[in-house]
Amino acid sequence: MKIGVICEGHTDRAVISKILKGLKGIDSSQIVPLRPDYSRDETDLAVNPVDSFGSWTNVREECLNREKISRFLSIEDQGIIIIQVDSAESHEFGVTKPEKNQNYSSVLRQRIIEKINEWLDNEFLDETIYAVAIEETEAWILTIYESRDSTTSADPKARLKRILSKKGVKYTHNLEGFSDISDKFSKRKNFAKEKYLTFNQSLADFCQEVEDKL
Amino acid sequence: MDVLISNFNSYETSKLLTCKLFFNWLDKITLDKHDENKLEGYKLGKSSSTLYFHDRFMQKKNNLFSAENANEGILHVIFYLALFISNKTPDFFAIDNIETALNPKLCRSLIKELTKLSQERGKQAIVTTHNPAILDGLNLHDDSQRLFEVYRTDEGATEVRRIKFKKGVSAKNLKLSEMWMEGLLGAVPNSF
Repeated sequence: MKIGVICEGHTDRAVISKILKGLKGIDSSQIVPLRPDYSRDETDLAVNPVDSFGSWTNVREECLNREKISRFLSIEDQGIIIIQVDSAESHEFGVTKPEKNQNYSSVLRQRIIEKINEWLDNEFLDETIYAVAIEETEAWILTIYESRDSTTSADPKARLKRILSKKGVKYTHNLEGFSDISDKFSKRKNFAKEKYLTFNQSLADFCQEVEDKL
Repeated sequence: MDVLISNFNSYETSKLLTCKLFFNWLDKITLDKHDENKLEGYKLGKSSSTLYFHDRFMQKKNNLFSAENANEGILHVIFYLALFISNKTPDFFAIDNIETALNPKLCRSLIKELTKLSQERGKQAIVTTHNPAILDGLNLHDDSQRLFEVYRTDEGATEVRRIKFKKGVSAKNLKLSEMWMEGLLGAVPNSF
C-alpha cells in the first residue's frame, strides 16, 4: 500500500520512511511525498523566492485545502496519509503549550492533533496517522545515539549535532543525510534491542499509531 | 515504413491521413515509388525513403520535401499510425517512449487516436512514456486502457503497479498529467 506523507521538510520524511520500514517492512518506494513539493517553478521562485518547503504554514495549507489528499486517496491501494509536524512552532498556530510535567509530551501531541483535525474539518480521520515530534524530529533520532530521555531536550537539533560530532558521524541536512543517521530505525530488531521508544514519548505514540493503523 | 504505407489499401490510406489533423502545415503525403524526385534533387542524403510531404504554406512550386528533410515528429506519428492501421503488422507490439519529438498537446490527441485505432484494428500495445502529456489521452474508466507505474524497490527489484481509481470516484478535477507531476501516481524519483 502506498502512503502519502505531508511533512515540514524532506528530512522528516526520511526519518518516517525508516520507521515505517522497521516497524512494518514498508519499502521506501511506497512512500509518496505530498508536501513539501515543487508547487512553484524556478521562474516564479526567481522573482519571489519564498521558501516553498516545509514549516507548519505549508502543512496547514495542505490540510485546509485537502484537494491533494482527496486525489491521493482516490486511487486504489492508496489509503493512508501521514501528517507530520514538529511541536516547536505550535504556539504560533494557536496551540498552547501545557505545563512541563510528565504528561507534557502526550498532552501537547493531543492538542496538535486536535488542531490538525480542525484544519482537516474532521475529514480523513480514519486515514490519517499523526507524526507529531516533540519538540523536533531530531529528538526521535537522538534515541539512536544516547540512552536517555530526549523529550525534555531543550534544543534537540543542536544536541544531535553535538552528539554526532562527538561520535565522528558526519551528515548533511538533507533527505540522504537524515536517511543515513536514522537508518537504525529501519530494522525492527533495533527497536526491541535499543529500546528507542522508551526514550521519547512522542516517538512511542507515533509508532503505536503506525502499529494500530497499518 | 515506406513499403508498408505504399501497400495500404484505400481504407488504410484514409485512416493514415488522420495525421493531417495533427500537423496544420501538412497538405498531402506522397510516395515516389520510382524515386524520380531524387533525380530532381529533392533528396540529397543517402536515404532510401520514397516518402514525401507537401507543405500547405510554402509556394506550390517549391513545397515538396522528402522524409529525410521532414521533422522527426511527423515521421514518428505516421509510423505509429501505420503500426496500428496496417493488417500486416503484429497484433501485439510495444512502443518505447512514444512522446519523443512530439508536442505535448499532440501527445494527448495521438494517444486518443491510437486507442481508438487499437479497438478498430484489433491491436494491443504496451507503450512506455516519460512525458505526462501522454496520460491525458487515456480514459482510465475504460478497462481496455490501462496505466501502470514501473519502479524500483529498496532492494533494486523492478515492480509494476496498476494505477486505478477507487470505485465511485467520478471527477477527479485534475488531469492525469498534473497528478503525475504532483507525484500522486508514483513513477517519480523522490531523492531530489
